[in-house]
Amino acid sequence: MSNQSESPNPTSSSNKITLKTSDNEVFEVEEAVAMKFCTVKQYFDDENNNNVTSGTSTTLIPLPNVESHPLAILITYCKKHLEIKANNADNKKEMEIDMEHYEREFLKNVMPQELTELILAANYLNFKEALDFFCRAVASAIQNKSVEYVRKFFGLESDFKPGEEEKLREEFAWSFEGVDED
Amino acid sequence: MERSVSTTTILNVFKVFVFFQVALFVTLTRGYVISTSSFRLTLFVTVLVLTFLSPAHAEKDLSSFEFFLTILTSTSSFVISESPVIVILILTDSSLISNIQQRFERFLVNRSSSSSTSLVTSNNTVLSELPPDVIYEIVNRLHTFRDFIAAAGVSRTWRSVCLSIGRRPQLPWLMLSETLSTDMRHFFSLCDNNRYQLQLSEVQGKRCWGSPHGWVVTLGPDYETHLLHLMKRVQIALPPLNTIRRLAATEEWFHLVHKFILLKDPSHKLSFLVIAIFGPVNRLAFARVAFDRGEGAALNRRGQDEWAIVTNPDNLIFNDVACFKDQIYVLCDNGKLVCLEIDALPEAKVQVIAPGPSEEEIDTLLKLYLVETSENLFGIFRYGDRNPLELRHGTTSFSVYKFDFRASAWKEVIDLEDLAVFVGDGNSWCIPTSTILCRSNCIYFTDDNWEWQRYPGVAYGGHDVGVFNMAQTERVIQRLPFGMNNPLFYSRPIWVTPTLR
Repeated sequence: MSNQSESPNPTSSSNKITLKTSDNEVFEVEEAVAMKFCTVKQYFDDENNNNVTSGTSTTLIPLPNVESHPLAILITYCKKHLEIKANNADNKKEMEIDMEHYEREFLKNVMPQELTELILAANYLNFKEALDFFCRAVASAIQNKSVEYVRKFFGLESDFKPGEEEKLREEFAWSFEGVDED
Repeated sequence: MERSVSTTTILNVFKVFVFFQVALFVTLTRGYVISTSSFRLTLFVTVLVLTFLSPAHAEKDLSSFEFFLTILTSTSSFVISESPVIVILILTDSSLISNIQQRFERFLVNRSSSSSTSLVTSNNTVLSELPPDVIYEIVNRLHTFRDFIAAAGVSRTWRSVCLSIGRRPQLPWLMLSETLSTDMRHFFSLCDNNRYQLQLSEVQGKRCWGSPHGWVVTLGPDYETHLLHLMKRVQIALPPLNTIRRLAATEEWFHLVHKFILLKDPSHKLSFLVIAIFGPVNRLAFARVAFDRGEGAALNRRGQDEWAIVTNPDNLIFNDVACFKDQIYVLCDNGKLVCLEIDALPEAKVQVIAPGPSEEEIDTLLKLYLVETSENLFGIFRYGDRNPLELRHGTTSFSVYKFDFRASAWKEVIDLEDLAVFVGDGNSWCIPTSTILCRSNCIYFTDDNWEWQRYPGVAYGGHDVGVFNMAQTERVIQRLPFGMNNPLFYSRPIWVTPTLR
């Protein structure tokens, strides 16, 4: 948790931070939102330490490993996350319920294949809550599925030597019964 | 007169059609490509001939509407009948093809340029190959062991990540008691309510103790003890029980040892420390199991090839053992906590560090367990009804104490928060339930009350399996229907967590 999460309303902080993605799109976000991205926070803190004199920061933070598409989704998620947190500051249970509800709705609008992109972006930005949420979502997407399905889901090909995979199958024969093939 | 003129015109038109078709046939069979422009021109001229030459003659007896209809039908029939030819013409039209090709290429370039940036990040890793730390996060959120196995089969990277995980937060399986005349053993997975069958001839006819490390300890009627890895089916023989049997000579084989506890050896992380609580007065012995019999294990250490007995001058009654922050603790009668130094000189010794939470004896106390997390040490007290006349028993409730190291005393806790605790024959342990699908704040228990088995011919027990909900509003026991029809005197359901390695 960053210090910023304590600020009651994300919109109250007027400072804006500009993020530039790998495909050269520029996002202007609230400081509270940007500070949830630990990578951005780190960069921002370092910058501020380097030039203490510049009061109003007009820093443009480059994000060479993040594209505009996942970043836009992450920003939306982050805003909502802060909002729910602010609305239920004194009730943890209530907050969890609201968050769960929002996350369920959120997943309806996300293609399963987009999740990989989002995970990588969240991982690079070091946005812990989002990473946890997306990993949970992926884990439940590949729940009770076959190895082939998981490979297809991540666009991977088997790189085992011939025979290696058969050995694994033989060893864990019990686990290959009754999985969903699709 | 006029009528004959109009018919001749139509005839002429048909002649043109026939000619055109023949021309088409000839050109196509010769392999020439007719450009669409010339084809369109021919078609246009035909239509022109029909509309501007014929109506002048047809005006008088054919209404212009009817005539227009005739032309329309003839042209459309022509177009329809010639549609394959038209398609062929379009496809063979080089100018058109080059046009399409250009557009297609431009489309492809656009596509790949947008996806290439997403496929390749600046450090040139392919998008679909997730970094190991992310794979780690994902597989640790898989609920069932079966899903974990599937993940381990995805690719080399996934496999190495899965193999690097020793103990992951995962609900154990309930290894059900033996069924006669088969070497198949049934396992019940709490997570997906599934039953799995494993062929395990190694455990047939033996009493077993479970652990969260993927291993079970077995003891057979021949007094031989083994460690068995459930998935790898590797068996390691434990030292002969001679020293233990000398101290408990009258006990039957399945009643000799009450509890085997499997710990990672705090002084040598690659070895296991197997602790046995045995005999009529619950004494303590331990043995070491080294997995690398190489240079590291050359030192002859206590318990290496023998069961080393812990001397017990105060006649403590040992109940359970746990390793917390590299220190071994033992829970004794009424909750007395002692510290065990297995490598102390001249011999292994125990030292009392705190009394039990209450000095008075509670006759409903059935069992005591010691459970560690990374931050806390818990004492779990199991209460129940005991009916010596009918030789019957049943669990009714639990209470939980947390050890306060600063005050050196037990403090009762009424909430286990996000923990799920597992107790029974074998290790007592808990798992955090924050990342997995599991009931939290509860204690899962199996039947480990063997006192009636001392009486000859009594095969009662194994039925006391269930979940105790710690939540203040509930505090109830939900029975799990296992071990009910248990006819075997030595085999009962136990908790064991399957692991890959």
